[in-house]
Amino acid sequence: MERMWAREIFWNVGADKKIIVYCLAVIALGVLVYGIYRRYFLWRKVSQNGEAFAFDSLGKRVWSLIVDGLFQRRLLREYYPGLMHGFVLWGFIILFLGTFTIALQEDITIPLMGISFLKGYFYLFYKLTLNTAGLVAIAGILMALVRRYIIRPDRLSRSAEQGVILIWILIILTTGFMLEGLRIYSLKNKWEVWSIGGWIISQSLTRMNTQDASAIAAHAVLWWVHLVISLGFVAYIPFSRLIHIVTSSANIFINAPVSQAVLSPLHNFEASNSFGVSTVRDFTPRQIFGLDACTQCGRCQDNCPAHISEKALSPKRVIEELKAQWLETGHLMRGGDGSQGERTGGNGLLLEEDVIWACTLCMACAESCPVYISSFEKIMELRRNLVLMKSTFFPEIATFFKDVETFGDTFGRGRAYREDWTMGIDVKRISDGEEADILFWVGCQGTFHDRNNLIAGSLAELFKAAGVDFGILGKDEYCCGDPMRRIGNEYLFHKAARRNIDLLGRLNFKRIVTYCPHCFNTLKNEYPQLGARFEVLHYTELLRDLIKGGSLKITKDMEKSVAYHDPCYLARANDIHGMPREVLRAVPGVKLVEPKHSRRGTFCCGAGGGHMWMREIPGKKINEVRLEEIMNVQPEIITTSCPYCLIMFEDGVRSLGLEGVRCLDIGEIIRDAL
Amino acid sequence: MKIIVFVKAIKYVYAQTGTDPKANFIGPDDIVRIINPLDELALEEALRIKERQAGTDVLVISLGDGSAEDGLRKCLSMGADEAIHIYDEGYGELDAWMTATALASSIRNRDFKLILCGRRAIDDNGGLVGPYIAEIVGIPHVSGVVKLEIDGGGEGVLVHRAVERGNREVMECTIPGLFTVEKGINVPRYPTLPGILRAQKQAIQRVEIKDLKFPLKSFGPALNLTETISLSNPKPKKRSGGLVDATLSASDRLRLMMGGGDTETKGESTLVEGDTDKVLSEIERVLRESGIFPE
Amino acid sequence: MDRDVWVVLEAEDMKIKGSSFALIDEGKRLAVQVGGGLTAVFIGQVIEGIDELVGTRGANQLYLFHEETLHQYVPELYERLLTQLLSGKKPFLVMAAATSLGSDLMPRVAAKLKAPLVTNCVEVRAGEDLEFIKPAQNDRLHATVICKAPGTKMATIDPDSLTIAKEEREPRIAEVTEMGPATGGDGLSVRVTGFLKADHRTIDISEAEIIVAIGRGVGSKEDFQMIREFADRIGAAIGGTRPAVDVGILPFERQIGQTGKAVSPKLIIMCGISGAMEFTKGIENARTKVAINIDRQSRVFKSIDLGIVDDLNRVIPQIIEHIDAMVNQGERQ
Repeated sequence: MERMWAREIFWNVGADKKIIVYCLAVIALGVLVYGIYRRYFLWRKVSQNGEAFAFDSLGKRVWSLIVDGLFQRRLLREYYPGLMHGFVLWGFIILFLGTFTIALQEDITIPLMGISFLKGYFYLFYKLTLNTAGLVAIAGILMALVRRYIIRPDRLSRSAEQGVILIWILIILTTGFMLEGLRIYSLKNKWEVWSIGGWIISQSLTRMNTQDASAIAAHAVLWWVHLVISLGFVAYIPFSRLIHIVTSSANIFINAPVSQAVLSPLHNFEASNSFGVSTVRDFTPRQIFGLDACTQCGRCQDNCPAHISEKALSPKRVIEELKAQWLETGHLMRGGDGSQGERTGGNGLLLEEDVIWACTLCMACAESCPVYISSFEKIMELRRNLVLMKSTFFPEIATFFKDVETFGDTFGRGRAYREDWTMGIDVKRISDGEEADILFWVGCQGTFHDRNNLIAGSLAELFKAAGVDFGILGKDEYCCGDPMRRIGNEYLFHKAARRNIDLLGRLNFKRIVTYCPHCFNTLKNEYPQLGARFEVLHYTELLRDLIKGGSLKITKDMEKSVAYHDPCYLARANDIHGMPREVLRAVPGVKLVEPKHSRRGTFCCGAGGGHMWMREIPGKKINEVRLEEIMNVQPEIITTSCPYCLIMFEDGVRSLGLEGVRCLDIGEIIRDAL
Repeated sequence: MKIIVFVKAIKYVYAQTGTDPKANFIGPDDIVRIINPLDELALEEALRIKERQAGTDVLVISLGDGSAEDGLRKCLSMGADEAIHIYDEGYGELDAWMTATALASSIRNRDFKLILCGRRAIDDNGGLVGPYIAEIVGIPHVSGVVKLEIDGGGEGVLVHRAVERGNREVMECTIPGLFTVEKGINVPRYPTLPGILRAQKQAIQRVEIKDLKFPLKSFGPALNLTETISLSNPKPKKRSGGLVDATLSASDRLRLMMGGGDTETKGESTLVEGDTDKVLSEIERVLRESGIFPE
Repeated sequence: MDRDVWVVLEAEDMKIKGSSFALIDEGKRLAVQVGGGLTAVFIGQVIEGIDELVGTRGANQLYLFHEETLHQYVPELYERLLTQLLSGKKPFLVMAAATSLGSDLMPRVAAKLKAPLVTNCVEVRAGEDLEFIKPAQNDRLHATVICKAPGTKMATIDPDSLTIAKEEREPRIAEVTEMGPATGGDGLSVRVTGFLKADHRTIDISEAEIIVAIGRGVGSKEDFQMIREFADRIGAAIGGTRPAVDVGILPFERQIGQTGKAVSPKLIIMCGISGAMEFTKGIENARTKVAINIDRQSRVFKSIDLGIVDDLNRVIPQIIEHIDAMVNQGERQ
């Protein structure tokens, strides 16, 4: 009896129609391939910045494709949209596999091997699975429609195209169920109860006392309708946002291993005469590809601290605008009038200057993007163009550049004062030819800022107390180059990095420990671009090791609720968020409270991207917005492990007039607990 | 039109962290080599004129040791067309008069309409070389210019000259002429990277100072009109007056006054606690000393 | 005559400038030390009783060139007159105040005479030789300069280092000699065509000589109005800290500090400013610093010349009243 549990393929349609079906399928596929080919032209040809796609770290790419593409890891950070999309995606995957299985049987296993397997229990399981998938997909689509048009979150548009696609998919799915239902009703097979969707429909038809003949006629018609709209859907993919099926997946593969912590270098200055991006054609194919992978989901915008603080910047709109420019350029290029079609936005720039300068380079957009599009990377390229080619920036930035070049530090204080922070603490100078296990890279903030040099001093004392063999560069220390790089001046970054690498290469030490996360990130991840390779730690790592190893003994406790703010360049850029918490928990009595945005999802303090030295731009102050969020968990102490974050918060506490809360660095907390 | 800009590469002492009292505690770390800031403004002004008037050339000349070349490269990166380095090993050996003589000699037989330079250099605080050159070359000069416009006919310029209290004297001057610029005339541009890279490859003409032709029998420090015989640290400024606290009660104030006042010396300022009358008399003193009211 | 000290005087608004009187005092002091007489030179408008003013101060001689039209400095005319006079008389030392006029005139005259000139002096010492002390390296050091060439020595003196002696004197009249007419060259290449008076309300703060700086605490319209009135009384430009600009009290052009402008006023009065490093870096070159703050522990009191611990809203109106009283007594310059 079980052997009877199978389905006649092409029932009521006629197996002779198979050829038509395949013809239509070929046409649809043809259109799909053609559409993608045209797109490919745009991906590769619009860019005149030849860099080919790279395919190193293949394992990492495939892994990301599986984890983020198939299993939707980043999307699942938010339950509703994560599940919603997962339902649709997996529903479709399973339905596709179902169709593929049929084709496998009909076109391969039966003709070649005489084997059919869609029967019996397997067939019931198969039908149950497909039906569930279909219902789940419908649920997902309905969730999507509700979300977009009824709940109406800020970050989603409500344009007609979005709605049309959702409805189209819904129709495909429901017609599929209707077909199933009509067939079940006509064939009246009891075992088809496993085809739950179809079963329900056939039950309704029964209740409606539908005529058999009508059912069969309806089925015949609907079958072709369903076929056409399904194949039409496939053909439509490359001409709509549905192309994200291809591009988003591919983008995960292409862009996932690209480290956000590291900006792309400009090698070989002398050979180029153009720097940064001023038209879309200056982007690399990889960067352009990222533009096409965007489905305007808006997570980047929702997580952008500048956007949340009502500044001019929306990472989502950045990608949208650049994408529009790219498409227009591509079409102009294909126009065949020989013009290169260099389109730019108003006043000759691809984006408004306000937008370009509002970014703090915190990387939250790239982190939150489910398909690894980096909005800030594009902004950075535009910024480089403004700085290096057009010399267009706030006058205080010109002063900043000149100060760093003349004096070697971001404060414009000068080499002569580099050792003042040591204030009677006896520290070795590695630059004098002395050797040490660890080079303590203090950084400009720790050296010159009157609040942060207290912390640098505390750290030095901690290291001494723990018996660490360390030394400093003293007067030879020079800015690591990160601020210049992130404001866009690659040239000054290069000069600084080159100088530092040459100096460090001549000295005797095993590891570098930095105070500032920016120095940490640059020395560790960006100096290798210029050929250097140092072992670099952030001081929280060293503290953790010292405490764990017993060299630092915590003797006092601290009965306070403590909120640890994760610095962007530690938590997001370098995935360091567990260690600092470990260090804090080593102090008895510390009650860690977590603000809403923490760990990799941390909310920038606002000082990044050169904003420490820039005037305040219109909008709320990012540090105040973050502070208010932190205060929601009522900490008595706000602690962090970054000099910039610390002074941004102390500033914010003053400007907001907050009482009952203190801002401390982790180093200070440990020092007081010894 | 040809514009000549004179720039000085100076040794700027920004700190005194050395250990030798004979060197006024100036150590090697305390010095940076920079272009005299006002000369940068002069160059920027020349470049702006060049942008407004087609066919303008800007020539930059600097007299100094090897580091003058870095300064000239910086000028080229900003957009100067040509640079000449008058090489002289000694720094500060030539006084203003000899320097001006050398610079004037370097432009003899050159056709130019404008000479621009900073009003004074922040290392020696002279303000002499500009007017000296003008006199030697025989052209009019105006010092302290904060605005410069070439008049329509190209025969003269209109200038605003900065005088005291932010006021301006408006003058017209025929050209060729020499103009020394003061802070506020413009904000110098930051060079673009293509500009920097191009400047690295540009040739800078080098002229040995002994190869300049001088109408004097000899040239050199021996003919200096003035000489700096020593450098010292200035005495700290006297700060009279101090902290006046109006929140004390009358009896406290009386007690303090009888007791001679409570004085804390914090470095250079003296803090005294007193009353409203003291506040007003101190403010009045300060206003008079600053010239707002006559003393 | 051999050891005579000469001083060049300036006038403003038909009155001899205070710095010129102070210069005469200094000239007299030096003349006595070097054993010569004091002579004054004045080119400008007619000033009533100038011979008595100058003579009482201590000058024996006065060389005068006055004309109604000379209400403003005319470079070449002044140069020619002075050069003629000096090349004829050959004094031991001639000094002028290092004002915009003196700093423009003296170098040109020195060049014409090939005389040694030391500018911006803060002190002149008479010993075996005259030593001129002047600031160098942005006021960090003092340079001691001597004149090597024989002949007339020339110097410009920083007006801020001159003080007017307040002693009573016997009225005297200086002997007046008319100068000129100016010879040499035909016509003037530099023509004076106007004078623009600065408005303290619109002047760029980096040029302002007097600044009132406010912090974020001066928040309300009324408080700001009070500050504005104060600033108007003393002809001050208004500047502020970064927080004050951030909350919109002042535009960015008026921000003082590391991310704003560096200012070098003769006088800055800080109202309700906490003295954070980012701000104080911008006022390093201010000559006289006054701070008003209600918090006695405030950082701002660390390196100021005059500190007032009080509530702004109490003390400023008092100061305004006091100034008005001073003005009513006809004291305002």
